[in-house]
Amino acid sequence: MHSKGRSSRRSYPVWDYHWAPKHLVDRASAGLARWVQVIGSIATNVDRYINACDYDLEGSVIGHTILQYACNGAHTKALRMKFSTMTERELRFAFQKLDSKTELPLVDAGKCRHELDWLYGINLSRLLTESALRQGRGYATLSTGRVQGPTLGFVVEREEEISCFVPVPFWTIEATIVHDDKTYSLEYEKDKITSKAKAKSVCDECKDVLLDVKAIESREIQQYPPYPFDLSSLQSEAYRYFGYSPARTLASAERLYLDALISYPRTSSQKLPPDIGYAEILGGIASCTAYQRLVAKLMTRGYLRPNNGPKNDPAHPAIFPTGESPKRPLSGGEAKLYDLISRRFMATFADSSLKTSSRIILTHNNHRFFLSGSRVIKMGWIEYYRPYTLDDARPLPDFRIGDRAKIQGIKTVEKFTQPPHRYNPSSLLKKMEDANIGTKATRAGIIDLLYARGYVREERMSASDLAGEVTDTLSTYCPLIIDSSFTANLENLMQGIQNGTASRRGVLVEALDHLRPIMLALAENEEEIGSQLSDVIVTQRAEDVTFDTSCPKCGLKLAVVRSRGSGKRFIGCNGKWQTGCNFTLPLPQFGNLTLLKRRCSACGFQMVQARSRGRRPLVSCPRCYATKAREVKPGSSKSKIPIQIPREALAAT
Amino acid sequence: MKIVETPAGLCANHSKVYDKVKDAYPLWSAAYGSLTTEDFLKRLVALPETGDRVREMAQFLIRNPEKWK
Repeated sequence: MHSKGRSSRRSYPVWDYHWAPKHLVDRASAGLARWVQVIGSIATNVDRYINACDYDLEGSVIGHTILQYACNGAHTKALRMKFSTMTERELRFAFQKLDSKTELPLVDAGKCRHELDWLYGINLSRLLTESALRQGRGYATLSTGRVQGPTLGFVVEREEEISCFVPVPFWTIEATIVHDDKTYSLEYEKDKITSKAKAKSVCDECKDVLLDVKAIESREIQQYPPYPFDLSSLQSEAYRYFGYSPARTLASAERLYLDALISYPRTSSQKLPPDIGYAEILGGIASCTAYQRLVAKLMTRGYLRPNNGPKNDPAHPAIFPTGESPKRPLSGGEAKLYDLISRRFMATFADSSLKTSSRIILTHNNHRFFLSGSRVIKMGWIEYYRPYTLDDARPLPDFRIGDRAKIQGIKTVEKFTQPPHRYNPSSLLKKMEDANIGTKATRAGIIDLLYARGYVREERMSASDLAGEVTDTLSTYCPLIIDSSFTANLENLMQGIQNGTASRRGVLVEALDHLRPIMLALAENEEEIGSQLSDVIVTQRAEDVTFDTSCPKCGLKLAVVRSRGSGKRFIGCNGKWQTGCNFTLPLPQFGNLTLLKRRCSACGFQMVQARSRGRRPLVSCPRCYATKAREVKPGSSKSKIPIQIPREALAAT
Repeated sequence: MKIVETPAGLCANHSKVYDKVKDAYPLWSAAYGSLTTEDFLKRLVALPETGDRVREMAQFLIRNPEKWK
C-alpha cells in the first residue's frame, strides 16, 4: 500500500492510496526488485501459471499480487492449487486437480483487510506518534489500529479492575479425619464464611467430635475425547504444557508444516475429513517407537472415527500429523509440538474415558462436611494423550453409611477475595478469538507488538501507564476504535466479501465514513493529546530503565546504560557523575528489555526479561549472571560471556 | 469530553475508588464484628490483593481522616 501524492511519512490523515509493488515506492525495499525480476524471468514462456501459495486469505493475496506484478498480469489466467499438507502424495493429487475458478472474492477480502488495517493503522498511529513528538520531548513509536486498539483495551480494562480491587475477608474451615492411618481433608458445606465469629463457632462446635457418615453419593462421568487441534487450541495447549507463546507455537508449527510433518497449521477447523486417510497416517506415525503400541491398539478397534469439533474452516482441515518421518532431527520445541499433535491425533479416535466421582457426606448436628474423590474406571483417550492430561484421581476411604469418624484437626483460615487474573499471551489470544477480532494468522503478532511498543509488561500481562494513556485518549476522542464489537462487525463485513454478500468498495466506503469524523476530532485536539502522551512517555522512559534495587556500592539508583563506544547495554550506577561509583552489571544484548517487578530468589536483585519475536522470553538475574560469569574464565571454551556482555560491564563488576 | 462532578479534591478515577472503599467498610466491619476505620484502612494498605489505586486511596484517607465522611 502506498499513499498518493508527495505526502511525507509523517503527515496525516491519508485517504488517497494505491496498491504498488513495494520496491517501486519504498527505497528501503529496493532489494526486492531482484526477486521480482527473477520470478519474472522464470515466468516467461510458460504454458500455464499455477498459484500454489497457502490456500487462505493471506496466501491468495500474495499469490495474486506476484502473478499480477511479477508475471505480467498472469493473475487473470492462473490456476489454483489447493493442498493442506506438503506431502508428495497430496501435492501430486492437488496438481492433477487444479482449480480454474476465479478466487477474486477471497483476494478482494484479503486486500480489503490490508486496506482497512492500513487506513486505520497509519492514520491513528501517525496521529499519536506525531502529536507526542510535536511536544519536543523526544520520539516514541506509538501505534494503534483496528485490532490492536481493542486488544490493548482488554488488557487496560483488566488492569483497571485489578487497580480498583478492594479485597473483602472471608473464612474457610479446614478439617481432617484419619482412617486406616491415612489423613483425609474435609470440605465444609460452605466454602466461604463471611464472619469471623461464625467461622469460630463452627470450629468450636465441631472440635474433636465424631462425624456420622450420612450418605455416599456417586456418579459416573464420561469424558469425550478431545477435538482435533485448530490453531488456537494448539497455541493454548502449547502454552499450558510448554509455556510457549502463541507466536512461538505458530513459528514451530510452520516449520513442521514446511517439513511435511503436519498439515497446514493456520486453520480454524476442528474437523478431520476421512479423505486425509486416517489409517495411513496412523501407520506412518507408528514408525516412531513411542507411538507403536498405541497405534496398534487403536487399529484393533475396526473403525476409525474422530471426535470432530464444532468449528469449521472451508479451506483446511484441523491440524494433523502427516505420518511422514522427520528427515532431520527436530529441535526441542518442534519435537515437543510434534509429540503433542501426534498424541492429540490418536486421542481423538479413542473411546471416551470414564470416571467415578464420589462424595461422602459426614454430619454433626447441623454441620455437614464433604469428602470428595474420583477414580478412573476406563482410561479411553487419556492413555493416548498422556502426559498432556491432568491426573486428578483422589482415592476415598472405605466408608459405609452409619460409620463414624473423629475430626482430628479443625481450624479457621482467614482469606481474602482475589482480584481478577491478568491476561497471559494464551488467554488474551482466546479473548481475541471469542471477540472475533483479528485472524488466526495475525493475533499472535498483535500480542507481540503490544510488548514491543512498551504497552504491556511481563508474562502475566500488566498494562503500562503509556497503554493506559493511549487507551484513555482513544476512549475519550474515538471510543469506537477500542470497541471490540465495531472491529468484529468489520470482520463480518469482510467475511461477506468472501461469501459474495458484500463488496470491497462498499466495506471501504463504510469504514472511511466512520474513520473521517474520528480523525477530524482527533486532529482538532492534537495539542492536548500530544501533551498528555508526552508526559507519560517521558515518565515511562525513565521508569523503563531505572531499577528499584539501589546500587550496593553507593546506594543510588541503578539504570540501564548504553555504551557510547560499543553501543551495548549494561546496568550502570546513576552515581557515576556524582560520587564516581563504577558499579556495573551485564545485561542480555538481544530483544526488548523489561525490568520485572519480580526479585531473584537467590540474591534479591530485580530480574530482567529480554523478549525477542517468536521466542520464549529470557528471564534472568543480572547479578547472579555476573557472578557465574566471573566463575567461568572469560575466553575459556566454557565461557558464554564475551559475545553477550559488553566488556565495560564485566570489567567493573 | 464528559465533565463529572466529584467530591472535592478527588479526580474521577479516585472518586470511583473512594466509593468502593466506603462500600467495602460495612462488609469488613460485619466480618470482624467491629473494626475502626483506621484499622480497616491500615489492613487494606498491607494486603497484597489490594489494587494500587485503592492502596493510594487508603493511604490518603489515613493521612486525611477528615475526608472520610
